[in-house]
Amino acid sequence: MTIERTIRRFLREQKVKSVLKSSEIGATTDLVLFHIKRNNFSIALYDDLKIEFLKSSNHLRGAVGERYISVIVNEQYHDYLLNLFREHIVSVQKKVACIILDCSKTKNVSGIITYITSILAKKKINMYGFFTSRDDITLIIDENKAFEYVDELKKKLKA
Amino acid sequence: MSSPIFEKSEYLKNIKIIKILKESAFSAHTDIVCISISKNLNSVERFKCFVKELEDSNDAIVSSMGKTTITILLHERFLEKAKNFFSKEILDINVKVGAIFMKCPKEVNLTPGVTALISSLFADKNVTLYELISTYTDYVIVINEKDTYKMASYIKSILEVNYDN
Repeated sequence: MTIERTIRRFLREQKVKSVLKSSEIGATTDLVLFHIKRNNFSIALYDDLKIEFLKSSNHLRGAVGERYISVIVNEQYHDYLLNLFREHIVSVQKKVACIILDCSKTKNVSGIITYITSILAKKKINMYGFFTSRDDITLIIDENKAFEYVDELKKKLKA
Repeated sequence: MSSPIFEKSEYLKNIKIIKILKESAFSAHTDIVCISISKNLNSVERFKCFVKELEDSNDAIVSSMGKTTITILLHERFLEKAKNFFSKEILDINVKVGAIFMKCPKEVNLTPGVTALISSLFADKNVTLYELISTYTDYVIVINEKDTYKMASYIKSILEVNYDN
């Protein structure tokens, strides 16, 4: 790697660290992740579910992609969602955690996602889902690795 | 064959990730807008109506729901409709954005480092990711419109290099 590239990388990392230092980082465990086939039926169900969960202030996060919908709910709703989406479910991942980074100054800073996901990769922690929504970043990983990851991330930011 | 990126991204050494990316289907689209709205009961109910009103809702929208916001990615022909629908709930509108869509094989879910590698390719080129949404084996990467095809072609060129040697 050339000196110029190393310097550029170092400066980028410093910028990323300063943004992440001012961010809120948290983890929620006891969650279950559903991957569901996207079609008109499942889209309508998912939209209803969002309304239902918001009304009852329950944890629900999710993303709708080109072919699939990912939904993360508290594990107490495992059977409920299983019955709701039935044959449209592609996979279910129990015992997952959401790592949530609330970053408000990330605009035009490149390398943030690389920084937070490279820590996972180095620790060989598998990620089941990832999505951003404006200022916040949601990572879905095994719940037994969640606190270890948050701890590692915070240590790296302090270093 | 050597490549400059080989030095930049240590994860490229991971042949498993390269194999996954080589087996993935890439497509790039421009003329997209990215709208962020507040997450509340009113906006979620409106969102449901909005999806229903679009001619083919199944192709139109990619979205993600975070802690306090909902991000919607849609073709720019729906922008005016979205503005009218969500009005005061809108926090941010990013016009002139592009998206790179990736459809990966199932092994992507069992292989750590894929997202880190993908995002590092953008960081290496100083391209900011506006949004990144992964659902099961698919990724949607939202970036500046002007960088979209350039980045899609860059990724393809990186993957054409033979890393076996």
